[in-house]
Amino acid sequence: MGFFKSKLKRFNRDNSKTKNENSEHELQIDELLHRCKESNDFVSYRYSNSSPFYIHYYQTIVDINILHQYILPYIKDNSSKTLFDLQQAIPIDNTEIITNVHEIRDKLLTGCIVIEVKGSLQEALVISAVSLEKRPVSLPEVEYSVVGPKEAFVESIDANINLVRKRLPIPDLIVEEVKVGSLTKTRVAVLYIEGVTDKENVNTILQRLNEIEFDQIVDSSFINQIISDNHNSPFPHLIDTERPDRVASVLSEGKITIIVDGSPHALTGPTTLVEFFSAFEDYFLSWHIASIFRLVRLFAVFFSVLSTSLYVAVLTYHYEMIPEKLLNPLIASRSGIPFPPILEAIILELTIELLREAGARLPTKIGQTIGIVGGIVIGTAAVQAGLTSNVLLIIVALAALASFTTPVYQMGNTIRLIRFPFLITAQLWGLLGVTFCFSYILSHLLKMTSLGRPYLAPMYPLRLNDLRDSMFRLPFFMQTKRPLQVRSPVRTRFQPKKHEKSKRDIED
Amino acid sequence: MFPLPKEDKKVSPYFVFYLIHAMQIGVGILGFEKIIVQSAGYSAWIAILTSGASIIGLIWVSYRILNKGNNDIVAIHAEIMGKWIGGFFSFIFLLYFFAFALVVLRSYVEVLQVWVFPEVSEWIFVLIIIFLSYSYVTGGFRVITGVSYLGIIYGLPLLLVNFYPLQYADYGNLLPILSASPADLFKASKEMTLNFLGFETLFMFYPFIKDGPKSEKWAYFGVLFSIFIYLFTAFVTFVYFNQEQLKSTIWATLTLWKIVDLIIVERFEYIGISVWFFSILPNICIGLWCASRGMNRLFPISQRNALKVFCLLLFIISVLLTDRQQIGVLQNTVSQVGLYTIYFYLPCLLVFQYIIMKVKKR
Amino acid sequence: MVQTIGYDYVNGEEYEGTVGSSNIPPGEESLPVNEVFTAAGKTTQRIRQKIQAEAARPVVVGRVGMVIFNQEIAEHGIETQIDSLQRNPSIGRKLLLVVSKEKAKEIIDSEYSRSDSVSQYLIDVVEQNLKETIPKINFHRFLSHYYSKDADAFLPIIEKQGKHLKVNGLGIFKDDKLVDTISLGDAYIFKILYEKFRRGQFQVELGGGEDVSLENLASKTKISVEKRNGKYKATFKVKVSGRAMEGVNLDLTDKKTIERIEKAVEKEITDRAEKMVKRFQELDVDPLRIGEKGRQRADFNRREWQEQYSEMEINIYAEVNAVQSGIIE
Repeated sequence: MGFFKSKLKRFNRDNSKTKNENSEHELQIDELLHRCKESNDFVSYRYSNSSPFYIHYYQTIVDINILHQYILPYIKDNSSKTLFDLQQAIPIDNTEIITNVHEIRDKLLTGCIVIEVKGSLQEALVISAVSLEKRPVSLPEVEYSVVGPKEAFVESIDANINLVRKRLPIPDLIVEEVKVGSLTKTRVAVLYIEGVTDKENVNTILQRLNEIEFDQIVDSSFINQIISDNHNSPFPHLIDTERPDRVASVLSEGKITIIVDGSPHALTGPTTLVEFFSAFEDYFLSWHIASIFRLVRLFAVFFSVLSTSLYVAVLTYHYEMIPEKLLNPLIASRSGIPFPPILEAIILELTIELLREAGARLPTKIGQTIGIVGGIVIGTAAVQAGLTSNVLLIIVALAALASFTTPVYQMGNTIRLIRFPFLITAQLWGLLGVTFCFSYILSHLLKMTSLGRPYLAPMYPLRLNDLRDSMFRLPFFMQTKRPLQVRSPVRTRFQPKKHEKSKRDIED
Repeated sequence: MFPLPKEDKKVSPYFVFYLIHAMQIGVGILGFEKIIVQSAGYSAWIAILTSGASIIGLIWVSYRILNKGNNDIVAIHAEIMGKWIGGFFSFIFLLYFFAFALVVLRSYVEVLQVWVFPEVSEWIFVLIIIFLSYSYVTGGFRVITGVSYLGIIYGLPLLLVNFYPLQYADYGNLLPILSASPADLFKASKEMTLNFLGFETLFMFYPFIKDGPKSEKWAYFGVLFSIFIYLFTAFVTFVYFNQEQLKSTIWATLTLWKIVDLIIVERFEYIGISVWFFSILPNICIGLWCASRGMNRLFPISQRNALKVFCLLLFIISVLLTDRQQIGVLQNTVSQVGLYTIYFYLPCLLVFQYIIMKVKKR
Repeated sequence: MVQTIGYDYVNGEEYEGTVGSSNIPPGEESLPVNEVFTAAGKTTQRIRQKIQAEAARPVVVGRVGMVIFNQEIAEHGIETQIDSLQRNPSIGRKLLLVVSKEKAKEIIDSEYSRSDSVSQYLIDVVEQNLKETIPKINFHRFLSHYYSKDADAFLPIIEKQGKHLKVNGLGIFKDDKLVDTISLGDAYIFKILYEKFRRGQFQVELGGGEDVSLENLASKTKISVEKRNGKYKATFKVKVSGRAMEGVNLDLTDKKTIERIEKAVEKEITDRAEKMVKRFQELDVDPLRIGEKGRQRADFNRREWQEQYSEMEINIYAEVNAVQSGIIE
C-alpha cells in the first residue's frame, strides 16, 4: 500500500511538472502543431495554394467522410475568406471558433478537425468529426439471464447512457460528467434521478471522483477500487453490472450509477451485502420462485465458505459429532489417505482454483476442455491414487459450484478467497476456529460502509421494510417504498391502489 | 465538560432490547441450573421469576436516574458528588465493568478448555478473543450494538435445539410445585440475580440511545425476554435431569445438548459451544467499551489507548488465573459487588440525586 | 477409534477392560476388520494407557456406542466405570450400557454372521430390542435412575448364542450393584409398566391349546401413589389396546372370543406384573420409579417411604381393548 502511495505521489509530481512547463511559455498554435506532427497519424496541410485555410486532424480518430462531404466542398467554393464565413457555410452544427490553444489541443485530441487561417494566429475553427470504434450492443455475458432484456453495455459511454436514457425518458435523469485520470482523461458520468436520489450520496461520489489522482482509468473497476470506503477490504463496495435494465431499475430506487468511458460495466451504489446475491433475473420471475432462489443462493454462499472448513474441523477435532451410520463410509473413504484433512482440503481447493484460473485465461473452447480434464481426469485419478477422499472431493466440488451461483462476479471471487482463512482457523481450533474467523469477518462487515451507508443493512441496522427485497423478494404490490438505505427524499414509489379485498362469494 | 455523543453515533431506542438482553445472557446460562437447584430444588424456577421481577424494578430506578441526569454515569456522578468523589465512584464502576468482561472471558475459556480443547493452553484463546473484541470495540458503539443484535439472532436457534431433550422428559420431576422454603427461595433468587447482572452497562451507553427515555420499554422487554429464556432452559433441564443428577452436573445446559441428534450431526454441544461464542462476545465487548469509554470521560486519555490498556490487563489477569478455584473466587467477588451495587447503591443514588437536584434548584 | 468397551471382573481391586474398534482398509468394497485390545488395571485411565501402548493409532473414546459390563463385575459394583464415563466430556449421552452373561471380552472379540463391523452389529441388536421388547434405556436414563434417591437403575442383559447376540432380559441394580435379573418375557411386562409405547406385540395362551397374539399394541400406564394415615399405597393402571391376529383355532370374528382374549391378556399382565413387583419389593429395589411418583406428593417423607416400601400395597389393574383385525374375515 505504502509503495503504491509513494508511486502515486511521484507520478503526480511528474505530472504537475509538465503542466508547469506548459503554462510557462504560453502555448502557440504553431508550437502545438509542431508537437503534434511528431505523430505520424497527424495530418496537416493547406487545402490549396489559393486557399487561406490550413486543415489539421488526427486521421485515426476522425471520420474522413465528414471532411470530404461537408467541409472540403465549402472550402473549395472559395467564397469564404475568414473562419467566421466558413463556419456559416459549413452545414455542420457542432462547430466553434476557439482562441484558447489548450482548448484547441483538447479538441484536436478527442477527434475534431481544426481549421485555421494563416495570419490570424490565435484563432481556429473546430469541427467535431469524431469517429469512434465501438462494438455493437451485444448479449450480456457475465450476468446472463434466460428471460428478460438481452442488452449489455458496450465500451462507449454515449452508447451506454443512451441505453439507460431510453429506459428512463424523464428530464429528472441527470448525467454529471467528470474527467478522471491525468493521462487517460477518461470521461466518467454519474447518473441519478433528481428528487429521488439523496443529494448527499451524489456529492459524496462527485467529491471522491474529483479527488482521484491516478494516471490511468481504464475500466470502471479502477474507480470502484479507488473510491471505496475501505481500501483494505476484500469485499466490493459497489455493484458492477453490465445490464442497462438493472441500472435503470436501481436508479429508480434512488441509487447512483457511475458509467466510465471504455468500460462495459456500470457501477451502482450505495449497496448492501445481500444485494450482491440478488440476480436481476429475480425480478422477471414470480416472487415465490425468486425468493426461493435467493435463499438458495444465500445458502450456497454459506455452504461454499464453510463446507470445507467444517469438514476439516470435524474430522480433525470433533469426530464425535459424526453419527454412527455416517462414520463408516467416512472412515472407509478416509482410511489410507496419507495426508491430514487440512492438507487434503488445501490441495483440492487449490486444484479447483487452478482450474478456474486456467479456464478463465484461456479462450472459451479450450477452457471447456480444461474443465473436463481437470474435473474428471484429475479428480478421479486423485481419488483412485488414494491421495484424497472422494467425500472431500464431493464437498470441494459442490463448494466451488456454490460459489459460482453468486450473480456478481467480484463477490464470487471474494467468497472463494475468504474460504482459505476459514480453512486455516478450522485446522487450528476446530469449530471454534471457524467461529473466530466468522466473527472477525463479521466485525469487518459491521464496520464497513458503502458510500457511507452501512453495508450489512437491512440486517443491521434492522430495516424491516427493506427486508422485502433483500433475502427474499416479495411481490411488486408490496414494494411500495424505496429502501431506507439510499435515504431517498421521496420514499414512496407508488401509491398502492386499494385492492378490493376479494370478499366476493365463490360464484359471484 | 461531559459532551453528549454525536447524533450519527447513536442507535435507535429499540436496540436497548438487544443490548440489555445480550448482557444478561452470557456464560451463566450454560450452568446456572445447578446453582439455583442446590438452594431451592426444583422449585427454583420461582426464583427466576422473583429475581427477574426485582431486576425490572431496578431498571425502573435506573431510568429515573438517567432520564433526570440525561447523560452517562460519569457525568451524573460528577454532577451530584462533585469532581473528586464522583470521579472515584465512576472509577469503581469502570473497574466493575472491566471485571465483568474479565469474568465472562475467563469462564468461557474455562468451558472451552474443559469441553473441547483440554490440550490447548488458555492464553491462546484469551488472546484471540481479546483480539476479536478489540476489533469490535474500535468500530464504536454502533458496531457493538450490531454484534449484540446479531449475537442474539445467531444464538436463538440454540433454543430450538432444547426441544430435543424433551423426548426424554419426565414432567413429573417438577412436582410438587412448592418444595422449597421461602428462605431457600430467597437464596436461590439472590443466586439467580447474578445471571441477570450486566444491565448496569445501561449507565454508560444511555447517551448513545436516540431519544433515551423512549428506550425504557425496550429495556423491560429485554429483561422479560431474558427471564423467558432462563425459564425455558430451566424447565427443559428440570424435566430432563433427575434432581440429584442435576446437582452433580456443572454445565447442565451443555450436558443437555449431548443428547441432541440432528440426523447429520450428533453431539450438539460442540456446535453449541462454538455458536455460544456469539453470545459471549457482546458481553466482553460491551464491558470493554464501557470501561474504556469511562476512562476517556474521566481522564485525559483517548478511548483507543484506554482500550489498549484494558485489553492488555485483561490478557494478563486472565492468564494469571489458572485453576477453577481462582475463577470461582473472581466470579463470586464480581457478582457480590454487582449485587450490592444494584440493590443498594442504585436506589441510594436515586434518592441522593433527587435531593441534590432539589437543593440546586433552590 | 473405540466403538465398544467391555469391562470384566478380575479381583476385588483390578478389572479388565476390552476395547473393540473396526478399521476399514483402503480400497473399494473392503470389509471392516475388527481390532480388539485388552488390558487390566485398577482405573480406567490405567487401562487406557496400557491399551494405547499396544495400539497403532491413538485410542479415543469419543465415538463409543456401547459399554458392556460382565455380570460378575456388575454384581461387584460399577461405580468407578460409570463415574469415569460421565466425567469425560467427549462421551455422549446416547451411549448404550448393557450387562453380559459371558465375559465382555468374548462378546467383543468374536465373529458374528454379518458383514458389518462387530461393534455396529452389537449396537444394532440392542437398539432394535430397545424399541420393541425392553424398556428404552441409554446412558442418560441410566444416570437419572442411578442418581435418583427414589428409584433404582436397570440395564439390558445380553447373551451370545452361537453366531448371534441375543438380548435376554433385564438386570436390576441397587445403587451400582446388580441384584437381580428378569427374563425377556418379564422385561416386556416391565416395558408396559414403565413407559408408554406403540407397535408392540403380545402373545397369550387361552388354555386348551388356543393361542393368540395381539399386534399393534399400544400401551399406557399410570402410576398413582396415595398416602392414607401415614401409609403409602401405589396403583398401576395399565391400558392396552391392540389388534388380535393369528389366532390358532380361534374364530376372531366372534365378539365373545375377543372378550375372552381381552380377559386372558388382562389376567396375564396383572399376574406377571404383580409377581414381578412383589419380587422387587422383596429385594427392596424400585426400578419402576414408584418412589419418584411418591416424591411428587407434597407430603412425601423419604424415610417413611423407604421403611414402608417392601411391605406397601401395590395394586395393578389392566384394561385391555382388543379389536379383530387382519385383511380377511
